[in-house]
Amino acid sequence: MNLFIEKIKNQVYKHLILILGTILLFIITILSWYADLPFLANVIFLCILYSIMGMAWNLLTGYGGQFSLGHSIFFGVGAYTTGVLLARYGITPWLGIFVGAFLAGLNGLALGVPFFRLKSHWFTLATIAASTIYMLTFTVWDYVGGSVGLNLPIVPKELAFYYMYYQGPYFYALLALVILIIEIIILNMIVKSKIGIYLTAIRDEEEAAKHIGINPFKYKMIAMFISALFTGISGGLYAVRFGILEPFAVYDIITVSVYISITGILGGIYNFYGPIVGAFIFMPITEYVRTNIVVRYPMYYGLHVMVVGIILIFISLVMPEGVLGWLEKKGILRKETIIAAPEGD
Amino acid sequence: MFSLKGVSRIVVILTIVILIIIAGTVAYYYTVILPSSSTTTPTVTELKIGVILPLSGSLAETGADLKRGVDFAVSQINNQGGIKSLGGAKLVVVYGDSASKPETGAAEAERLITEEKVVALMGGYASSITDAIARIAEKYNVVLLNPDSSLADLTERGYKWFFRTSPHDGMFVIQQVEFVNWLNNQYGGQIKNIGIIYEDTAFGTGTAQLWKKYFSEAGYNIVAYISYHAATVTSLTSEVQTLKGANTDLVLIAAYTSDAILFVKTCKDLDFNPKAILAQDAGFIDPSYVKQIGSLGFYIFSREVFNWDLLKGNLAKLNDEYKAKFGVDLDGNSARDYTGVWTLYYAIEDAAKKVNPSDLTAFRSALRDALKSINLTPSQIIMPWAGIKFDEKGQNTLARGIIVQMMPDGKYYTVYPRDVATKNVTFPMPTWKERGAA
Amino acid sequence: MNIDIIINAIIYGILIGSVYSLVAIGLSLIWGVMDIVNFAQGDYMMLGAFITYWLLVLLNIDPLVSIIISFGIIFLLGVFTQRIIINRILDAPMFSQIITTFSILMIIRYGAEAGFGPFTRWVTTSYSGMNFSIGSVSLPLTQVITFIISILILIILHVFLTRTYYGIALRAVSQNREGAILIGINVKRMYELAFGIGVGISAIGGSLISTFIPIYPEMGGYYVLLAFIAVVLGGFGNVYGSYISGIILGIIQTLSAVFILPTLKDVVAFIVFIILILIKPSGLFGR
Repeated sequence: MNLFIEKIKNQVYKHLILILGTILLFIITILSWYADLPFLANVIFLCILYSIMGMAWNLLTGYGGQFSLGHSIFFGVGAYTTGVLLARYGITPWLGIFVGAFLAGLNGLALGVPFFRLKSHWFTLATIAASTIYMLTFTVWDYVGGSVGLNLPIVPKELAFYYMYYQGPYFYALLALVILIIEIIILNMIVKSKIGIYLTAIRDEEEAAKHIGINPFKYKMIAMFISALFTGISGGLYAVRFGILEPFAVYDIITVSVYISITGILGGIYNFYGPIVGAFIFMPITEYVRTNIVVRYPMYYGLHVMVVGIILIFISLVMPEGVLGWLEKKGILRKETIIAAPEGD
Repeated sequence: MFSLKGVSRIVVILTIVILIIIAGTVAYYYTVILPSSSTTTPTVTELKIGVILPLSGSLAETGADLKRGVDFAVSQINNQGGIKSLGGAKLVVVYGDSASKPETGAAEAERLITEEKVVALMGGYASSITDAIARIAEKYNVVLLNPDSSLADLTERGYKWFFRTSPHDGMFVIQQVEFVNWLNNQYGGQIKNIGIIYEDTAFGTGTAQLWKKYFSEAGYNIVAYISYHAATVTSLTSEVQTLKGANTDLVLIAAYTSDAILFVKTCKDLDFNPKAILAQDAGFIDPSYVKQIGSLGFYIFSREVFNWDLLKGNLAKLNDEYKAKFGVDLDGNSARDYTGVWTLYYAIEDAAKKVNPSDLTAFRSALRDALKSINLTPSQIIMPWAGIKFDEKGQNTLARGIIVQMMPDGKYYTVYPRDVATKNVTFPMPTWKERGAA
Repeated sequence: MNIDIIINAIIYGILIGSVYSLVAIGLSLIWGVMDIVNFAQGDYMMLGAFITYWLLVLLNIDPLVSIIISFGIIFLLGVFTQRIIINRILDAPMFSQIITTFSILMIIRYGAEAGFGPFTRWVTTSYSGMNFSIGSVSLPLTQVITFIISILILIILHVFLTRTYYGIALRAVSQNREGAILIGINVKRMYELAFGIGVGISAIGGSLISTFIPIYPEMGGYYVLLAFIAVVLGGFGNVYGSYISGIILGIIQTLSAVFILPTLKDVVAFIVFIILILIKPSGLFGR
């Protein structure tokens, strides 16, 4: 019994910052609900949403070595599936979101088959082209609303739980937080397992990995499926939070795909928690600029994205290994990644 | 998990505990201290309404036009004494920029409702944006007064907080069929083939569907049915080519400003000469379009809701005032938003007699009741309508449209219905070569 | 479907394709010489368009004259970009390079939007609406001029690449960097030249296209994607291949609009793109 308690204590100490951080976030969200601070809660929601997607994306990119700028596909499939199931068939998002995630995963597998044989920037280009095709296709597909898009139904308060239809971002932020925790636990298990180790081996030296009997394709597909799955869940969350789906918004290259990659790049793609750090840095900044400057002066629309671009240039020139990577390099953080980042490409 | 080198666990735990205490204190302040400090009901000196317009993005020019109408109405209202039921309180508009995108409009709606605490919303012009805003308004039990979106479906959604003063596309299209029938009567049945081209958001798509339905029923051939994406379109060459190749007699087009200009220019570039072009308002009546299109826009028909040549007497003076201040005439867009503000104003006067605005929820609800029972006469509005009275779906049933045509002096004149027309139509449209326009 | 419509479509495809070609040439040059995939290519094009606009509106300079100024300014901007930013990431991991060009994209595109205002603008001149007919085809003057100028640019570029020291040096660097260093070529300067010319030509494309379509700050995104397709089709590093592919791409687009649906004309192009990447990334004409 004592041994068990010791084990728990160890785990808690090890993940102390994480646990306390989660509790803090949880408390702030509940308090903002009580104190009626929708802006704060919305920023938290977006941070968590992009954290989920960033972590998912990083499994493929940081660990798998395939730089994807097409994750808006999985986001969109997840969002639209949730939306269609709810709007057309009245199926609750509690189920719909997971169906959407699964479909997103399947799409990922389907894309992985032709794309995984591509190297470096060819893969990236293919993902960009694919996401554009998805966007254009959804624009002319009447079943999902075509270019007009899809509106989720409005329901009275009694049905709010079934339809996940709540005022303000509070409920969604809490739900997203729960999902993020689950995701962290699952990803942690994957990364520490055989899958994670093989993935980094494939990332660094694919040929050598093949020679010792690892099947690169199989493991990349696994990574892709998980990656797409969680991105799809985020899409579902987005759908219920905002209630309107448009192909141009949902499949957008910059605000979805590139933003997701920013969370990873900013935070450090070779660090497990990189994307979370990245999301929590850049989301508040861009939202702050957007709501305080751009909203007041519509003439300056676009400023908030430009600011992100400036941050990115700074990162890629000064600390390409990301914030966490830089902190590790400087010795402030102890290295915890399983296998060190590769030396250049 | 990362662990900090050389920093003891105690310090980390302490830091986070302190952060929690700070968060708790802040929350306590906001939730307990602040609300209780305002126990007295303050006298209301100003009343805020939220107006969401496309102030940036692809619809920005129209957004500026709409804003003029709103600003003009607000200044008029405040100059004649403000909100009299509240002792002359000023009407204040808080603007939200939808950036010509539905999701931004929705975000702005949420902000205006929850942070600015407006008593009502007005907006959003593009039907796709209005749809998104209406959802939010519905969620938060706030009135959305829509003065300028024509998508018929907006009043079919079962919204309980949505009110629309302007006629919708169903009403407009029926009138357009009448108009085309009349043209055929007058000019020997020259219109047989109809080509429909539309921008692909809710506004254009909805209009196109109605066009197809009603014009087919009336016996016309729909020879083309083409869509494009207004926000990113840079070429309509293929589209106009298709229209040309199908021997189109009449073009029906639903477009916003930029694409309207592009379309007309492309028609000239490709020497496409239909017998008539009938537009569905929006971009074609935007003063910015009128200014930029020059002679290329002559003889094009448009559905309109309002035209400067209909103002007589007192109202003509109103247009002069407006023109003196802003440099352009009132048009269907600015006039509708002007009317929208006034409609809200009358409702506010009514509601303020019954409920004090400091009780936000009750006041917002009272506003809805006021709108439900509102009954404005033609003398209270500048539109050529029989008044403003909403049915149970929130639609003003007393509104109607008109058809205008641009004459060679560069201005739009009312040509239909004949009882309000100020000029005769020019039909068919002279070809580009005949016009000799360079 | 009569043959007239098809001929019309092909001709318009060639005309609009010449603009894609200009953006593609620039992209191809940079890719070939520096092995950098410049995602911001379309935004330099947009800057070129806006320079033409401002020169016309503020100083009444004719667009056709302004392409020279446009090239000059963007060329310098390109050199500056290469020196300050690109140079540092030439040996960085691939994702770092991609993200860097994307951040340049974001700064230029959204900086322009915040600075110029997010509105659509037209460049209108006395000859904007002119067209002349050949048979059943009505050709807009501005588009024909664009096509002719694009050919001129290609010829000038050809002369530059084959008969001048710098041009030959550029090709040398693109073929064999170490060898080029060995024979004394200042590679860093070649990079600046390549990047400057690459984005400068793209800017010319922007200036030209502004004479017949409405321009807005976010327009670059569309053209860079098309340029990618053209470059992959034509063989990256191969400037002539990229030019021809740009034209072919224009024709594919307009024919797709005729035979399928105007709204789907881009889907065909992108599907072609993906198939190409999978099968023969070295393009139709190879390297």
